[in-house]
Amino acid sequence: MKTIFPKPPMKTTTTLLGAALVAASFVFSSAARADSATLGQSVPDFTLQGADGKSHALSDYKGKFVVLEWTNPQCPFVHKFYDSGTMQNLQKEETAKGVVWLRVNSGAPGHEGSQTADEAAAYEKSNNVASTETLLDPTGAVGHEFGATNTPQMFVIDKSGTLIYAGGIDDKPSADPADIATAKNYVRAALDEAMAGKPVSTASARPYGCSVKYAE
Amino acid sequence: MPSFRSALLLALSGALLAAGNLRASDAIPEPAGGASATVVQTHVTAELIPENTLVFGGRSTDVILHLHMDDNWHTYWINPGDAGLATTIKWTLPPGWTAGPIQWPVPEVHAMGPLTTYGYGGDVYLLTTLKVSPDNSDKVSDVTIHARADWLVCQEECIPGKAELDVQLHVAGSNATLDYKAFDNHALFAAARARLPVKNSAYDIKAYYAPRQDFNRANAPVALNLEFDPMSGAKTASLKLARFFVEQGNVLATDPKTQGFLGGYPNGSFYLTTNLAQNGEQPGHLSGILVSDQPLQGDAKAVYLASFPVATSPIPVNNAGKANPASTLGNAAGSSPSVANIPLPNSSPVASAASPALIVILAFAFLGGLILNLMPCVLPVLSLKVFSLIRHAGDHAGGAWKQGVAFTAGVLISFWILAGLLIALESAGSHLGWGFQMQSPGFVLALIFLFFLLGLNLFGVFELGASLVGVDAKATSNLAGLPSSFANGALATLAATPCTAPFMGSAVGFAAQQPAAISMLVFTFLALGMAAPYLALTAFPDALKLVPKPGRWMEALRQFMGFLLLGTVIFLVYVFGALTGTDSVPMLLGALLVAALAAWIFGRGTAPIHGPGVRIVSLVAALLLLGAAIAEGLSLAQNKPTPPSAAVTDGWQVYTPQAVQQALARGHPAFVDFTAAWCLSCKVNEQVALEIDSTKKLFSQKQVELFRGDWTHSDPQISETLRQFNRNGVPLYLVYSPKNPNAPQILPEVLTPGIVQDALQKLP
Repeated sequence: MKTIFPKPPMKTTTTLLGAALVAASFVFSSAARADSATLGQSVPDFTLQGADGKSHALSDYKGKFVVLEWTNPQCPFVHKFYDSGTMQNLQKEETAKGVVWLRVNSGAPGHEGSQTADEAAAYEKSNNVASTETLLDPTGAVGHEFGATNTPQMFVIDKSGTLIYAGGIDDKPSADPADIATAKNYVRAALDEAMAGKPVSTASARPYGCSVKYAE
Repeated sequence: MPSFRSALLLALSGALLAAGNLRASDAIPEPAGGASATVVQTHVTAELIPENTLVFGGRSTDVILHLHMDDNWHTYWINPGDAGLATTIKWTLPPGWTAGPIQWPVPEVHAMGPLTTYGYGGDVYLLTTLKVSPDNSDKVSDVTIHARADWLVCQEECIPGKAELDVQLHVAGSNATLDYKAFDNHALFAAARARLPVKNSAYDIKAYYAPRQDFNRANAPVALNLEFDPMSGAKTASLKLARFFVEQGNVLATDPKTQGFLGGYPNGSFYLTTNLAQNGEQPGHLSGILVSDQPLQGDAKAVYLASFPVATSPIPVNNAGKANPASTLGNAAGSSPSVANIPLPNSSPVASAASPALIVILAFAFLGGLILNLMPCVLPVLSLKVFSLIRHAGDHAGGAWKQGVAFTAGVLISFWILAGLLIALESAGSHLGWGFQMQSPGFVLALIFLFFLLGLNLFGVFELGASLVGVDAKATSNLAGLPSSFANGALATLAATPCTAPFMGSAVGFAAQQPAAISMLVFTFLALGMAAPYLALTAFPDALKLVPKPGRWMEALRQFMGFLLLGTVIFLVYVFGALTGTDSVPMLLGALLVAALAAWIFGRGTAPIHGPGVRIVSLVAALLLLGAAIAEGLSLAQNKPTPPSAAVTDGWQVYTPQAVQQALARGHPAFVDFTAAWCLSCKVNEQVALEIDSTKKLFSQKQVELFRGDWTHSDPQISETLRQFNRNGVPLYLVYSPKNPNAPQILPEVLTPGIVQDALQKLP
C-alpha cells in the first residue's frame, strides 16, 4: 500500500480545503442575512429607485443627518401634514441645515397610494414637496427592515449612520390639522438635540396614521 | 384577500371569546328610542345612547357611543396596533359633571397584509360613566350632554370621521318629586356591559422584561414575560389558551399569535411571553385585557382588565410551591412542570408531562450525532479516517489518541462555527434553520466538486500525498497528520448537514431557540456524538485488533467508498438542479467531466517517473482545466430556477397558512408536508409513506387536501411555520382537522405508512 502513495508536501491542502468550506458557508449565507434597523445601532444600507428615475443608496448620504419619512399620498394623516404645509416647511427648514430628507413610499403596486416614479415626481411638484428625494419601495423590503407600519412614520439617522429616532411625527395622534399647532414635533426635536451634541430625549414614540399598504 | 383573512381572524377570536362566555351572537337590544342621537357618516353610523334619561344629582349614569360600521370596515381600540387611531370622545357637560374614560370591550384582531391591528367591525358599544353634579334642590331640570366623537374607519383605505352628538337628560335633585316617565335602555346596557372585561381579582400578575421564557422564539433578546397565579384558591380546570392585549402602543409585537402560552399547571398558573415592538418603549407599568378560554371557578367569564408594574429583571423564585418557570430550566420534577416540558405552543399541557427535559435533549443530540456517521455523505469520509488508523495501528501505538482528539476538535469547532452562525443570524432576526447552507448554490457546488474529486481520489485516478486518507506513512512524529485529522473532522461536519438524521431535528430545533449557552451545549453534544466512534477507537487501540490486518481488502473497500461518494454527488447534483433550474444539470455534469479529465492528467502526468518538464506541463494543464470547470460551475450557480407556480401539482397544493385555513373552512382536513430537495429523509418519507397507493386512497377517502411547503430555497413563511412547531428544519408533517384548525397532529420525522394512516384515521 505504502508504495502506491507518493509523498508531495501537500499535507496542509486538506486543512485549507476544510477552512475554505467553512469560510464559504459564511460568505454564502451572509447574503441571506436580513437586517433590521434598531435604535442606537447602525442602520442597514439600502438602494431604491427615486422619483427622478435614478437609484439612490442610503450610503450616498454618509456623513449627513438623514430623515426617512414613510408616506402615502392618499392617507388622510399624510394629508393632515401636507395640506397644511407643515411637512413641506419642516423639510425646507431641515434641508437648509444640510439634513437629507428622504420620503419613502412602500405601497405595493395595486394598493392605495402606490406610486410610479412619474406619479411621485408629479406629486412632489403639485404639493411643493421640499424633500431631498422620494424613494419607491414597492416590495416593502426597506419598510420591513425599518419596521415602518404607519404613514406618516419617521426615522432620524445621525451623521455616523446610527438610528436616533423611530416613531410617530408628533405627540398628538389625530387626523385633525388643528392639533398640529399644539403638538410637539419629535423629528425637529431629535434633530435639534443631535445637532447640539445632546442625546435625543425622546428616541421612540408610538407611530400613528394609516397602515403601510404592503403586499399581502 | 384581506377581507377573508380578517373574517377568519374574526372567527378565530370569536371562538376564543365564545369560550369566555362572550358570544358575538349575543343580541344587543335596540335602544328604546326617542332619547338617543344618531349621525350617519361615511361607513359609520354613530349614536349616543343614555342608559336613563332621568338621572339623579350626585350619582353616576352611563352613556354609550354606539358605532355601526359597514361590512369589512373597522374602527380602533385604545391601542390600534400597527396602524390606525383609537376612537376618542370629547364631552361637553353641564357644570360640575365629569366623564370617565371609555370602557373598551375586547378588541378583534385584524390582519392587513403583514400588519396587525386591534379594533371593531360591525357594531361597537363604547361605554362611559358620567358623574352628575350634586343637586340638593327639589326640582327636575333639563340638561344637554354633548359628545364629539372622532374615529378612524379603515378597510384598506382609512377615512377619519367625526360626529357631534347631543342628548337631553333630566336631572332630579335629591328632594324632587318625580313624575317623569324616563326612557330606559337597561337591557341594551346590560348586554354591552357583558362584553366588557371585568376588573382582575382572579390573578396575581408578575411581569418582567427578560429573554423569552418559552422555546418558541428565543430570537427576542428582550421580551415581556407575564406570570399569572390564581388568587383565593380558585382554579381553572385546564386552561388551554390565554392572550394579553396591551393598551399601550409601541410596546409589544402586535400579532397575538407571536405570544407564547404555557399552562396546564395543577395550581392553575399560566405564563405568557411576548416579543417587544421593533424600536419600541419599555414602560414600567402596563395595562390591558387578559382573555383566556376558561374562567376561574366562581368567575362569570375569563376576560379581565389587567394592570401591573413591570420589572426589568426576572422575579426571583417565589414561595409556597408555586411554579416558577423563569428560573428553572429542565427541571421536570415535582408538581411544577418546567418550561422544558412544554414542547409546543397551544399543545395539550397534559401530554407535555412526558416531554423531554434538557438532559434528554442532550442525550438525543449525542445519539443523533452518532447516527450521522452512518449517513452516506459522512460514512466515506469517516471510514477512511478509520482506515488510516488501522494501517498505522502499529506505527506509533499510544499516540493514536492524539489523532482522535484532533479529529474531535475538528468536528467540535466546525459545529461551533455553524452553530454560532445560526445563533448570530437567528438573533439578527434572520431565520435560516438547520441545513441553511444547502440553500446556497455556491455551497452545494463546492461540496459537489469536493466529493467528486474525493471519489476520483478513492478510485485511484490521482493521489494527493497524504490526502484525506490521513497520516503520512513516513511520518516521524506523532504530531504529523494532526491538521489532516482536524480537517477531516471539519469536512465530516459540513458533509453531514444535508442529512438531518432522525432525532437530530428536534435537538437542533430546540437548540436554535435556546439562550446561546444552551444552544452551544446541544451542538457540542451533537459534535461529541459524531466524533465518539473515532475517539473511542483511538482511545482504545486494542479494539483495532478485532478488525482484519491491513491488506488488499482495504484498497477494495476504499474504492467501494468512492461509489458512495459518487452517490452523494448525484444527490447534490439533484439539489443543485433544484436550486438553479434543471437546465443547469447537464452543464454541471459537463464541468465535472472536465474536472475528472483534469484529475486524470494530474494523476498521470505528475507521477515521479516523469521528468520535471512533463510534470509541470501536466500540472498547469490540470489546473487550467479544473479552473475552467469550477468557473463554469460558478456561473451556473448564478442561475435561478423557474419559480414554483401556485398551481396544484400532482395533487399537492403550494403551502401557505391561508390556503390551509381555507381548506379547513371548506370542511376538509389538511395534510402539510414540509420538504426540501436536499432533505434526504424527506424524500425517503415521501416515497415510503406518502406516495403509496394505500395512503393516497385514504387521503381521497377522507377528502384530505394536500399541501407541500418547499424549503429548498429560503422561505421566511415556511421558516416561521417551522419555528411555530419548534422545528428548525425539514421534514415536518402536520395533519389538520377542520374541527380543530389551530392544533394539528404532528407526525414524527421518520414516517411509516402505519403512522400516516393512523393519523388519518383519527380524522372525523
